[in-house]
Amino acid sequence: MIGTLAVSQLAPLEYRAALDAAMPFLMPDKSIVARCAIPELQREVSQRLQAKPADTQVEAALWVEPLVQSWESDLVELDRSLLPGSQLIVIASLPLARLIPERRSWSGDPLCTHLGGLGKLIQTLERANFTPQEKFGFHAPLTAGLNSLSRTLDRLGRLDLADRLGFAARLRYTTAGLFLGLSTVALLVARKVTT
Amino acid sequence: MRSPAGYAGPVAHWWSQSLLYTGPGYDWRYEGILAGYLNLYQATGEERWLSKARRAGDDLLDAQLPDGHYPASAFELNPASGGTPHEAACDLGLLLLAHKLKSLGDPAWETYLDCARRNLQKFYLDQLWDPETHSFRDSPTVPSFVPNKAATACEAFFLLAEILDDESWVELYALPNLDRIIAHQVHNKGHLEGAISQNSLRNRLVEKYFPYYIARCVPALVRGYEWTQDERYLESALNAMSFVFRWRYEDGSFPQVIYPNGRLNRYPQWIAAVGDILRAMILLEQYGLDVDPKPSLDWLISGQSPTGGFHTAHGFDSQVSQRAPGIRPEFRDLLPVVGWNDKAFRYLTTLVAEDKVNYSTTTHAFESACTLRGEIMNYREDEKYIEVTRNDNTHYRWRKGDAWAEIAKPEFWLR
Repeated sequence: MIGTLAVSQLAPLEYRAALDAAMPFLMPDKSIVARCAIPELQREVSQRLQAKPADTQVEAALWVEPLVQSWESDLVELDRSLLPGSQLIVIASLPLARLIPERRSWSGDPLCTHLGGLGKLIQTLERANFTPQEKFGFHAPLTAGLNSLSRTLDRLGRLDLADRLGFAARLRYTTAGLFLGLSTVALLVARKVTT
Repeated sequence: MRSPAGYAGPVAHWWSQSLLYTGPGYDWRYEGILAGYLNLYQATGEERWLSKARRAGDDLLDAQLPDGHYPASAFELNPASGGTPHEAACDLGLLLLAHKLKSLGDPAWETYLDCARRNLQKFYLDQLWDPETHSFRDSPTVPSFVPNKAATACEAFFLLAEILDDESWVELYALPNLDRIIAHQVHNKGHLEGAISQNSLRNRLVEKYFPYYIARCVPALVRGYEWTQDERYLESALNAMSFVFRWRYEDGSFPQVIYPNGRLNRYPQWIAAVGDILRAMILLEQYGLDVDPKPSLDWLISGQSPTGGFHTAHGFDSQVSQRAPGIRPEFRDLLPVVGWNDKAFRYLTTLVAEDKVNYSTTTHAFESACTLRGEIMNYREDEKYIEVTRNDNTHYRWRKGDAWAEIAKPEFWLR
């Protein structure tokens, strides 16, 4: 059921923003399979979509946080469950996600938190006949910089400017291209090649 | 904006947005919807308005989770449950309905009361009540207090006490919260006199003064005065609204937030939400508040689109720069957010008996140029869609009834 996770238990914003951004790719009316190896994010996935069991081929897949120990076998299973032409949406923590305080106690060893992990994933997807179409980063470095400046102004008593910088930071929360690797979370859109 | 399971649509707010989750929100929109339909029933005696109020109440009954929460109750933070003041606002709406049904001798009143009471007990009393400060926290895990949110909960407890004829709900919970609200009010002479701080966090006062949220404190303070005849509550309410109206512009609008250094961030200026400020003003008219509602009523009415919905704001595009907005509204300005429209609806329904407002039930599609991140786009809303296009490409589309936006380019991933 949508919206059942309490505000006090929500995942950090970059994960929620990435999951929300994934939803239009998965909707409407598509049959979906979802795979999430991290319980802390599984709750966020579950409160957004009710995926179908993976025993039938589906039209779209959401893959959250590929892990070092299981990502290759997960990809084989996802490939098997997807119809040709289907979209695969991947959400993965990037190296700077290790700095997010809330996730330090999370389980698992995410592939893309390792240097070169996202590149390795993309190359493997291409070899598996998936065409990467778009990729985005959340909590972009400019956002982090502006937020830091905002906090400084807050401490100096300029709450008015602090608020404005906070909103400027939000406007730049999503990025693509050069600074993607310096974001904390990535969203990758790939399409399974029609055979 | 109604979907099969409830009132839905995108949300734009000062702090955050929910433009992608567009399903039903069981949040403060239900306070104004329920109160508004009950106002119409009261004014006209027409059964159809009571039926609509019941349907809204049934949305909440059907949606309530076993733990007492309402799903998707976090408005701009959706999807999430445990939203404040949203769950208390739902309870308040349900209690208004229960109160009316009880007065009509309809046995269904107990069902709505039980739903509200379950949430008030399991969330507000079991999780948010802080026995040290005798007030409601804003989070189960963080020492915090938000006056306007506590005020909404107070209103629910006043009504619960009235329905159950048990004043302990007021003595134990509502009045201590009102006292803490007064402790957050500025009492020294000056440009902030009467203002109420937005919140305190870990005993640190956050000195931001939002006219809208200050007005949201007023109904509970008035209720406190009427219940106890303690002048402190009435004085606090009158001072609060005097502050709000001192900062009103000639066009009837209000700034978004005023800071202790005298600076302010004017934009975005609420439109639909001004209904709550006008409602607070009306409550205080009988106690001597002497202000002219007309400029603000004109400001509100001028924000109604041909669809019947009220625009959210003026000047979202200036939220960072705070320069005067351009000629084209920002996308979020135009959104007919249900959780703001209920405020306009609730206020306007208080005028129906006095026939101060001419209204029509004919609605039409609405189309306008708009901007987002500096790009000029075209906004269109009809019965089936809200859609934003640029050069014949669709950048955003919500098919009404769907829980998620169907199309959303990255510039619409705003949070």
